[in-house]
Amino acid sequence: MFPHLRKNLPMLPDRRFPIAALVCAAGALPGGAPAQAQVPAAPAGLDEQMLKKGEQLSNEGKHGEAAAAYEDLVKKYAASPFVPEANFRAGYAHYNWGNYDAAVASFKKVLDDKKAAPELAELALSLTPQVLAAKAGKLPANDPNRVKALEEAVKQFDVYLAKYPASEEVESASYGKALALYQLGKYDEAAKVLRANMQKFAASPTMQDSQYLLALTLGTIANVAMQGAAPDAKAADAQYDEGERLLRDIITKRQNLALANDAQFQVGELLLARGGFIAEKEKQAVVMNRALDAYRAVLTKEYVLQAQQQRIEFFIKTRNDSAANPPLFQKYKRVVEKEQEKLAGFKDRADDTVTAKIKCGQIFSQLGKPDESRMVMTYIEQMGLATEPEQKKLVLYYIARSYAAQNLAAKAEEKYAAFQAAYKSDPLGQDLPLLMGAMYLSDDPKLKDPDKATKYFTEAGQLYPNTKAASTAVLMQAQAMIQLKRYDEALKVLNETLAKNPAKDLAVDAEFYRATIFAETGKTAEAVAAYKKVRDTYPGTPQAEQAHFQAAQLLSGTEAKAALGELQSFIAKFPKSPLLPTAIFTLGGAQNASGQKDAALATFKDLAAKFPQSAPAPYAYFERAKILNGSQKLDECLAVMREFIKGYGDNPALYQAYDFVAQIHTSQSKGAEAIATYEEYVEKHPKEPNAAEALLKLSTLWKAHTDAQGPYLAIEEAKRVEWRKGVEKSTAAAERVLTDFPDSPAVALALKNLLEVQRLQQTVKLKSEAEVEKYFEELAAKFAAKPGTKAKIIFTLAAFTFEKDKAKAVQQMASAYKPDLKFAPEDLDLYGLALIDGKKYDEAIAAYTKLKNDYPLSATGTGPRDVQEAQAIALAGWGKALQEKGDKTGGGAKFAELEKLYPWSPKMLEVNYGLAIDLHEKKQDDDAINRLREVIKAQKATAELRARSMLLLGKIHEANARYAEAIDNYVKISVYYSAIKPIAAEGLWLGGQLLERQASGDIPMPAPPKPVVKPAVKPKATPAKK
Amino acid sequence: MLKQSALLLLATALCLGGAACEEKKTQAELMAAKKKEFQVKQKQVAIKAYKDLVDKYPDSEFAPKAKAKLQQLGPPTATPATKKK
Repeated sequence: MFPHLRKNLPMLPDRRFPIAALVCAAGALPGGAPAQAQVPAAPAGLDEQMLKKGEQLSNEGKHGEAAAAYEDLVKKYAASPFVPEANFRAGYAHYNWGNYDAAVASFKKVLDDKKAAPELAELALSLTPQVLAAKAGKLPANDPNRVKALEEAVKQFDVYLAKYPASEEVESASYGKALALYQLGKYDEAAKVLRANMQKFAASPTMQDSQYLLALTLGTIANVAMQGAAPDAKAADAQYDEGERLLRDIITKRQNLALANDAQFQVGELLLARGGFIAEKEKQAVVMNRALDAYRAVLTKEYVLQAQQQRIEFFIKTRNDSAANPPLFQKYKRVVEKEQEKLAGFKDRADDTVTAKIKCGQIFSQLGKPDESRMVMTYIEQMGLATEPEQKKLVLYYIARSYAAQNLAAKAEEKYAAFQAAYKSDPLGQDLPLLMGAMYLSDDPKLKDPDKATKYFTEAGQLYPNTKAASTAVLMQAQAMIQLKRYDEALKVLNETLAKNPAKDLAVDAEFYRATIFAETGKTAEAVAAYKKVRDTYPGTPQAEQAHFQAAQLLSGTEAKAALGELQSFIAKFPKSPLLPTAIFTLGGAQNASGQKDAALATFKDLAAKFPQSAPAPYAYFERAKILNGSQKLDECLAVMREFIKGYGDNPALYQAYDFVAQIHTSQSKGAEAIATYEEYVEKHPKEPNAAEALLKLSTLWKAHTDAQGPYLAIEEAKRVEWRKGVEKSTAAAERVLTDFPDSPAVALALKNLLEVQRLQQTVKLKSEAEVEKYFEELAAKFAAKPGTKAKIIFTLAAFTFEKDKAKAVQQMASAYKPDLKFAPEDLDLYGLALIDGKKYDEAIAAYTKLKNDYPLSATGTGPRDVQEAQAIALAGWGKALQEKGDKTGGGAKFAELEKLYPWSPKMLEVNYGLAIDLHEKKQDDDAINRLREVIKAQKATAELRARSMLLLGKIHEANARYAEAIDNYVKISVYYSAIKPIAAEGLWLGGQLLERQASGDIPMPAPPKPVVKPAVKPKATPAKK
Repeated sequence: MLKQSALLLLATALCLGGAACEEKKTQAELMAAKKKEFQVKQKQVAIKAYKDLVDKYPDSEFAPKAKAKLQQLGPPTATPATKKK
């Protein structure tokens, strides 16, 4: 149960009677040889000769033959006065021979013999429970005879203590009884006996033995309590504290240095066990570090032997000094004998410092410090310090474990193989195949090897059948398959496991995983049913609690009203669940979805009030704000967001709150307030990455401020001042994005703003074209040390040049473009598109090929999201270049590849546009129209792409003689996307021409009853996001 | 009396027949007027589109063509104010 304590039972002081001394003394007892005491020395009789022969055989270690000799004497000379002693000695010889039942039987003969001297009877009675305890010690822990022997030992100790309450051996017998009780698991009774012993024999030189055993008993009581279903941590802490205090008292008093060293080791053991029950990592680390200190203070075997030798010498001197006082002399004689037995025990024991070092390595492993753990263990291994087989095993185990924990596959494989070769199926290594398997499920593509992982999980089942490791392996295998989305295989593994009627703890996990598979494969009804099964079949388990929550959570996504009851019952049933805040949050969402807006507002408010530090609490504010915003309760909405900003100053969602506030101000046409909101954020959080976004918003709002003043040339001076102020502020905010956040994604849009502001000044003749170019050139020069930012600025300049001198623009981009420079995918895309616009298709393809190579996928075709996005951009650009070049099949193939591999990519919108062109050419206009409508509706599509799509849609309608729809699309481009000048202008031109044809009668007036095929798609009012 | 009655019937018939003729003529005229109105309206919208193009996108490649169109189509007709009910 507690190996670290159990295994150290041999370290308990041997408080048995000094049997050897007693047996020697037995020969001198008056009852042992009364005749000899009365007659002069004469040749020994045959009975006495047999007694001496037995004694000689005992001294030679021939205990079996000695016992036979003594029993022969009893048999042949039943009337001999040596019979009681022969029976006693026979019992002792049997004891030494390991023939415990015969020993007890021989002692019983002494006790039943009325001729036996009282002293001999006392000895026989005192030895009987010790023999029984020794018998128990030789039996396996699960042998029912062991318990019987220990219970009989306790009984016999009690008989002895009742019969000889004033004996010198009462302390020792009580200790023996306590030890037997401890071994029976009767810890409270053992503690009671030990406390009484400590009190009664406070001045005894061996009292600390009881103190030591009491400390271990208290530690064990605490350990057992902490392993219970509802542990009383406070009570356990008190027991740990007292146990540690008792041990440290032994250490501090230094009366018995060998025992003090054992106590030092046990402090480490006690703290290691205690730390294992602390869930909070920081607190656990504090206790574990104290355990490390304790283990590090354990002294070497040489020191212990030397100290014990000195202790023996001290008692020998005390004994000799007491020669004039025979009872005292006898007492110290026994003490010397006891201490000499202890010395022999110490000599047989391994060096505790090695064990302590191994414990340190174990603690490092538990603290998640594999490097430190391996360093300690490797030191022990390389220095050859581990002498015991158990030590060698532990060292190899922890080294293998450390490598597996760090995903150092080659070394882990080597050490794992070494461990299994030396200790195949040893229970210590149960978790090793699991760790090895888990290592091969790592996210690292170089390491990930599900097949190898499966091999180790299978091995766990084979090496450790019917163990927790085997069960865990099955679950890990299923979990691995779930992660790999191999759901059918995972289900098969789980179903096979469940078909074998596994133990409850395995069955509940298997059922839970099944439910998870259903949930992940979109089988919501099955998942809800499966979670409910876990909840109802295994009540009281953590899985049942989680399943209850999951069922409710899943329902909330599909049947909000049905989820309400489930969530409310979860909240009522598990008021202390860690899932409670999330459940309350989900309840708020379900209430809102069911139209219970006031209840939802109250629930979200309640969540933030009761669990302000919980993960969903910040989101509860946003949910409240959304509901209030939807109800047009804007002032309340603003108040909620301000409350959030005040209470969650460090929350990652802080910027979103500011942004929410600013957007509400903007929707109320309160531009000044919106600007003030973003300025407040930037001022308070100038280094936060979101400050780049806030600065960009400021730049845009200040530009809008300029636009709001009207045409510069037509407005009065006061408005001109505001106009110029807007320009300056917009420019300053955008430039700050470049300066403070040169690597931010906001840089591209900041540059766009700068370009628009520069163009605005050029339009009203405040700046010449040359001055605008100079501005960007000087700006680029400022970022000479930041080639990426500089390139982006030059690309912006090129965009300015593009309209008038496309060749020069491409040249400018080409000057910034360097094959060895890794550009942001979006920037390289801009360059590629410019090349396509300049009809430099092969160069564009080269640029997109570079992009594809600069952001490579792993060998398995996977990669982080940004890499996949770069790949998507490359495919889209490549396809467009091919399409523009005239290779419509090649272009279509690239688009199809993109659609297959990255259907989530924003580039898919461009692909849809590209495919629509292709489809229109193939006269598949319905499909083309559908794709274009998707693009126009998509908020993620750029304004330019949406404008282009509307233009193409208009052209398709025109080609199909749906003139009204065509005109609608053409003309509205300039309404929705006025900034996309070339497209808006073309739309007006084409629309105007169709209108003119209608005016001339070239196109007939549409007949009123004719139904309109489909109205032109209105784009969403939300501004396009790049 | 009979003659008087016959005259009255003739007058009624003429009167009724005249009313039917006038109805037929109005529908045709209405159709023509509607078409005319549509064409005038589309012309005005076309002029507005060209004018928007010239005003908003003077640098556009379509701006010169739109200017030419505007000259060709003439100035926009003033839209009559909507009658207040």
